[in-house]
Amino acid sequence: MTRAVIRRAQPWLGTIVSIELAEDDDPARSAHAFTRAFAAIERVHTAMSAQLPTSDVARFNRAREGAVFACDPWTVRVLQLAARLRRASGGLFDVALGTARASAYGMVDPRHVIKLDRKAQIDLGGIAKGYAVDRAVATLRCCGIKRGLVNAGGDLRAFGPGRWPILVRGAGALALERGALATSQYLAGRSPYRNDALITPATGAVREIDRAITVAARNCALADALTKVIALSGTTRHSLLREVQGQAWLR
Amino acid sequence: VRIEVLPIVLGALPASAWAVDYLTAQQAESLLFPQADAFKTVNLRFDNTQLQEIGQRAGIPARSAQWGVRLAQRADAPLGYVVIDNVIGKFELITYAVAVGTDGAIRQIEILSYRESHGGEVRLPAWRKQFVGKTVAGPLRVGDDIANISGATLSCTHVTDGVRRIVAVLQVARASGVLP
Repeated sequence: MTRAVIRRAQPWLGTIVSIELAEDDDPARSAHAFTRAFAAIERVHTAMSAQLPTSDVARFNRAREGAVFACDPWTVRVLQLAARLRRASGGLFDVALGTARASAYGMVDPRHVIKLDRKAQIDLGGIAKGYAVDRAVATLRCCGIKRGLVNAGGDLRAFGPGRWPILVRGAGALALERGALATSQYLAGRSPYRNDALITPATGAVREIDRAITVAARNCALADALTKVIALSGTTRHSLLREVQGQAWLR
Repeated sequence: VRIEVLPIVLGALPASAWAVDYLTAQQAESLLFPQADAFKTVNLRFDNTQLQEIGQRAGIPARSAQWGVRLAQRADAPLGYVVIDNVIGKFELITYAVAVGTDGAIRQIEILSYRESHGGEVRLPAWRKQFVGKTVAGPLRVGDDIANISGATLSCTHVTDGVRRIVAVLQVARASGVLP
């Protein structure tokens, strides 16, 4: 299991994002890949952070009903994926957290979004980290990296040959090969952080969940989003998991 | 996706189980200022008035009256500064480096190492049994063989606060003429 990896980490997306690459014969290639991959993470952070007043998300939340505005194409893709997951999960996954009557937004074109509901407030906290990991992985592969792992505060994805040992908090160690893993912990009454999935989107009711959910999927945006579906549905056999050939564990 | 359950050395999980190193101080410096041909250490010492000003600018207490700054230079001209700092989160100690240009703007932040002071990760064998697949041979050591954790509530809030404080430290030091 010994392997030579090189690691870098930077603070983004409210957490620490680390990237590990198999040691390359060409150090310049690794250096370039790190820079490009962190730039991809920064781009997701800049476009999708709810805290940054200039982000697409913040601008959407301030916009009036019917407003059409330019977004980073990556934001539009995340919103499209979120809309599909919302339908497929019967509303359990909802980036509008129940603030919209029906659809919070619509896609105008790959760079423009329309706000469909005056009251809609979106938060991409349940999917953006996973998406950022996917973009970083795509960037690394583009740079000619054969094997690596990107981890955004526990939402992670491995690519290339070979297994990566992962410690799942409070549970144990797993080996992950070519795929993504995300874990969400919901500690009823003692959650140290703001928790979107504690809100049932359909009713807006706050649900007390005292569990941790781990989801494996082919990409990290799906794994990230599905932890919320599993948390609210309470089952690891949700049809959406089968559709995306994912696996889930509850504890 | 392929998933397997791995055996783990329980004895390898003391209270301070977790440590991941990313860069040494020296590696960080040359990464943050690749054009630099020299780094010079400048030790800063602030008086009470300056400490108050740092606190006001940063919005958090200055914490220390003494700061070490590495001045990046090229052909004796200043390129910027690197400050290495530690912050303690809820359970973790994070060492990070900030690069600030001579214009006072943050250029880059790199994590140097991350240590977790909270152990006891493997407590629920019943939960582990849910994971399907064959167990592989060869036990793993956390920190040695395992560098990644899923389900971490890792927050970079303290790093963000620390960076703000360092920017204020450099502003006050430059205003007083101690730094170019």
